[in-house]
Amino acid sequence: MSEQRQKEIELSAEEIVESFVKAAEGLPSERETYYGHEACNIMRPDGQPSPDEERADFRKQFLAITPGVDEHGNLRVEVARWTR
Amino acid sequence: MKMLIGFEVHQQLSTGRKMYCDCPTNYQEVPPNTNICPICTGMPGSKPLPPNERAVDAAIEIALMLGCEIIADRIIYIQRKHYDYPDLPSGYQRTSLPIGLNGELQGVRIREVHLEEDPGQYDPTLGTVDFNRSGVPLVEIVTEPDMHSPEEARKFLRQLVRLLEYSGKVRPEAGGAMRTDTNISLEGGGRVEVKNINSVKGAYRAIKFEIMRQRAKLERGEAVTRETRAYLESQKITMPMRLKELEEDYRYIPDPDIFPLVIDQARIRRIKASMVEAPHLREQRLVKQYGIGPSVANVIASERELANLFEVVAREVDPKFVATWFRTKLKKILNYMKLRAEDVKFVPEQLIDLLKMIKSDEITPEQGELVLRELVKRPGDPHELLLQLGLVRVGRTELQAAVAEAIRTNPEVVKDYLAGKQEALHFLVGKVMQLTNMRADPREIIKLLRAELGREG
Amino acid sequence: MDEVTRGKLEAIRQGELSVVENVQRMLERIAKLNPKINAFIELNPDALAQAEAVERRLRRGEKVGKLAGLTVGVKSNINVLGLRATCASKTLEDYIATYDAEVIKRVRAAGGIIIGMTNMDEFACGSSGETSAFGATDNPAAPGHIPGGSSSGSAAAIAAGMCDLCLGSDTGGSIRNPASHCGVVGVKPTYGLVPRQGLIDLAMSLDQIGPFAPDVYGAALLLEVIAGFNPNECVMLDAKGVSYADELQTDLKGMRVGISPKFRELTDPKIMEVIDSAIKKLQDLGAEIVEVELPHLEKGLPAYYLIMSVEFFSATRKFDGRKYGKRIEDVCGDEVLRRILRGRHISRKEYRGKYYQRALQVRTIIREELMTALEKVDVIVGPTVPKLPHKMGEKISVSAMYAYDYLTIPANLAGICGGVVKAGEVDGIPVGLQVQGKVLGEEEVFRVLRSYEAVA
Ligand SMILES: [Zn+2]
Repeated sequence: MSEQRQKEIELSAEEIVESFVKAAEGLPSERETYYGHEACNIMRPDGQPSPDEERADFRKQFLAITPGVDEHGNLRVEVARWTR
Repeated sequence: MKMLIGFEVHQQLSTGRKMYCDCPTNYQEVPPNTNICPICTGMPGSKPLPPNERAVDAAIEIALMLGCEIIADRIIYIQRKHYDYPDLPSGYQRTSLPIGLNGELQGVRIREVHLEEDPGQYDPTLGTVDFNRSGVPLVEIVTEPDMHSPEEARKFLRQLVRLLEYSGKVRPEAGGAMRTDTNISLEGGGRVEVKNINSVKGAYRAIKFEIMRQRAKLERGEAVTRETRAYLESQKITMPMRLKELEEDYRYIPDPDIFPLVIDQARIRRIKASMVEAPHLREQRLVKQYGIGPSVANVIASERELANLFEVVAREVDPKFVATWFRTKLKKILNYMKLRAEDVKFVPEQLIDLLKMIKSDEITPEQGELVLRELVKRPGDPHELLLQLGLVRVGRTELQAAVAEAIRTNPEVVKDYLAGKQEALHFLVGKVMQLTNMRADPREIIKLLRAELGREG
Repeated sequence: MDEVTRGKLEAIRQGELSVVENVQRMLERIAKLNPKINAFIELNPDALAQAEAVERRLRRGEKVGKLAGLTVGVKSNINVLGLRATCASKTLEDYIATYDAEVIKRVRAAGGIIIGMTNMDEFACGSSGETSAFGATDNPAAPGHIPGGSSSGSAAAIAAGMCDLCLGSDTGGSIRNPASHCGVVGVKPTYGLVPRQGLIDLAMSLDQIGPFAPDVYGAALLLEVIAGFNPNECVMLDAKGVSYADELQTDLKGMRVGISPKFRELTDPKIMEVIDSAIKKLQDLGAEIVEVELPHLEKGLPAYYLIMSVEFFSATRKFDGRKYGKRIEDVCGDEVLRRILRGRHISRKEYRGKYYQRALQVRTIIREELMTALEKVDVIVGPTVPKLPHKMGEKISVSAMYAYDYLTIPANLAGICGGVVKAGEVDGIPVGLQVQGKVLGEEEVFRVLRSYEAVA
C-alpha cells in the first residue's frame, strides 16, 4: 500500500472525529453505554465437552482452509524473528 | 544490595470445558488442533459462549484463599487486550478486571487476582501453532515486589503452588500449567521483567541469573535499563525481547460479546461455605490447636488430604503421637511408594486402630511400621494385617528359647559382649528378631539377653 | 399491495408450485438479471437438491417449517457451511465457511432454501453498495442509482425478484437504508432478539441480523423464524416463542404514533413530502399522531462512527492472514481501512476518555432520549434516509456518504427496533417510511408497516 494512500485515508478518518468533538461540546457527562442492552452474570455451567465427532468434522474444515499445515496438524505460521 | 522481586503467576483452572466454548481442556493428551471449534480458533463470525461459571467461582475462591477483598456488587468487565501474536486466534486475549484485591500470602502482598484465557501454543523456532490450549481458563495472581532474594521468591512460589493445589480448583501442575512473569530490580537499577518461566525452579534460576547480570552491570558503572526479557530454559539465561513489547498499547475495551460479571454477597457466601482453608493458615492452626511443632505441622499441611487425615485421627489418638507418626513413618512410606495422601485407600478408622495398638504397647513400633506399610499397600483391619503378616507377638517361652538359641550358636559374639562390646548385643538382638520373624519387642529381647548373660550393660 | 410471500407459500402448499420449480425459476431469473444488477456473488450449488428434499417431505405430508420451499438469499457476512462468507472483501475472498450461523440453522430447519450469498459493502462498511470487492450493485427499482447499503445485494435481490426472502444485517442502517432505496420491506430487530452467532462483525454492540422481503408478511415470517433466545450466546435477550406473521392487523385504532420535528430539519423536503402524506394515511387508519422531542438525534452520527470504528478495529484483529484469508490491511478497500485506522487511533490509551468513552456517553444521551419518547408513543415514524440515492459511480465525499445514516443510526445506538416499508417515490426513486419501535416492540412496528402496506 502506498504511503500516500495511507496518509490520505488517515486524514479523512479524522474528519468525523473532529465533528464529534464539536457535537459533544456542552453535552453533560453521562455513564457509558457499552452494550445494546444491559445485563450481567450471564454464565454457563461447566460440564461435558462437545462430542469428539463434532470437533473432528470441524478440524477437517479448519485444516482445509488454513494456508499451511504440518504433518501433525499444526498450523504453519512465521518463525519468530527473535529466534534468529 | 537491596533487591525487589515480584510475580505475575498464571495458573490453569480445572474445568471440563474451555472458558468460552465447549471444547475439552485436556490439551496435552491429544494431537495438535483437535480440541478446537470456530470459537477458540477465531473463525469469522464466531461469538464466545457465556463464561464458564466454574472458572469464575474458582477464581473467586482462590482470591479468597489469598486473603483478597472480593470486588463485590460492582461491574467487572471482561476486556479485550489487543496484541498481534501467532498464538492469539482473534488478535486479542480476554482478561477480566480484578476479581480480588489486596491479599497477602506469607508476608507477600497480593495486588490482584483476575481471570484470563490461555492462548494457543506457538513454537517460535518451528513457526507452528496448535490451538488445543486456546481458551483454557486461567487465573492470574499479581504480587507486589515484596521478595528480596531468590530464596525468598522460591519459598513464596512453593507456598503459592501448595495453596493452589489445596484449592483443588487448578489443573494439576504439568508441563506449562504454571507460568510466571517475574520482575526484578536492584537498588539503583531499572525494573526488568522476565517472561517465559514455566516452573518454580525456572523462576529461581532466572532470578539468580538476573541478579548476577544486573549486579555486574551496576558494578561496572553501567545502567540497568527498564526492559522485558525472556528466560531460555535450555540455557538458563535471560535474553532481551523486542523493544516493541514495552511500548505496546493493548487498547483495552470491554468485550461487547460478553456481559460483565457482578459478584454479589450470596455468591461469596456460597463459595466461602464450601471453600478449603488456605494451607498457610491451616499450618498455623494445627500448631495452635494440637500443640505440635511448626516443622511437623508444615509436613502435615503439605498436602490437603494428609492434613485432613491427620485431623480425623487426632480426634481419637494423642495428637502429638499421631503427628510424630505422620512425619516419621506415614510420610516416609508415601514418599517411598510415590503416593500422595489423596491416593491412599485405607479409611481413617484403620489408622486410628493401628496407632491405638502401638500407643497401648499391644504391638511394638517396629511391628506398627510393618503393618502401616501393609495398610498403605492393601488396606484392611490392622489386627488382621498383623495376623496375615505373622506378626502376633511370640510368647514368653518361645522368646526365651530363641534367646537361648542365639546365645548358643554365637559363642564368639557372646565373648565380645562379655568383653564389653555393646555392638555385640545389638547383633544378638538382631539374631533373636530373625528367629522370631520380627514378632518380638527388641526392648524385651535386650532385657532377656542381659539377664541370661548376667552382665548389666 | 400484493402479499407476494403469502401467495407463494399458499401455492407451494397447495401443490400448484413445486419447490424445485420455485428454485429453478429463481435461478433462471438470477442468471438473467444478475450480470447487470450484481446482487449475488455466489450461488448455492446444493439449492436444487435441498429443494427436492423439502419437496419430498411436503408431498409425503410430513411436517415442514414455516418457510417451506421459499428461497432465501444470505448477506455475505453470514456463515453458511460450505459457501464462501467473503464479506465482499479480498480479505476473505477464499474463505469457505466452516459452520452454519445460528440463523442459517433456523432457516434450514424451517424449510427455507439458501439460494446464494448476496453482495454488500465490504465488511458492511458503507451505505451505497459500492465498496464491494466484487463490484457495485445496481438498484433494480431505480436503475443507475445506488441501491444503498450495506446490505445492497439483499435489498436488490428482493427488488428484482431474484429470491423470495433475504437476510441482511444492520449496524447503523444497513438493512433499512437499502430497503428504502430499493422499495422493499426491511426490518432491523431489537438488539439481542436475533442470534449473532455466525455473523461476521462490523460492530458487535450494534449489529443485528434482520429480514428483507417484498411484503410485510414475508419479513414478519422470516423474523419469527430467526428470532429468539440462543443459549449459546452471551449477549442475547431472553425472548422465546415470538410470533408476528399471524397477528398482522391492518388498522391503527388506539395506536400512538410519534413524529419529530427533528426529522424535517435533517431531511430533503421532497422526501418529507412523501413521508408527510404517508403519516396522513396512518392518521386516517386511526393512529393518533403525537409530537416527540429528539433534540440530540443528529449527534448520534459522529458518536456512532467513533464507537463503530473502535469495535470494528477490535473485530478485524483476527484477520491476520495466518489461519485463513489475507491480512486485512494488505488488501482491503479505502473505507474499511479508514475505519480500522480511526478505531486504532481513538482507542489509544491517551485518547480513550476523550473519544471512545465520550462517544459512549453520547450514546447514553441518544438512548435515553429515544426511550423517553417511546414512553409517550408506541412507535416513532419518519423518513429512513435523509436524501435520495446518488447515481452509481458518482464521487461523493466521506462525510456526504456518512450523512446517509443520520436517521437510521439512533435505533442502533439505543438498541430498539425499526422497520421500513415503501412510502412512495420521488422522481421515480423509492422512499421508505421508517417505523421505530420499543425494545421488543416488533409487533407494533409490523402492525404499522402492514397497515400502511395494505392501503398504499
Ligand atoms: Zn473451542
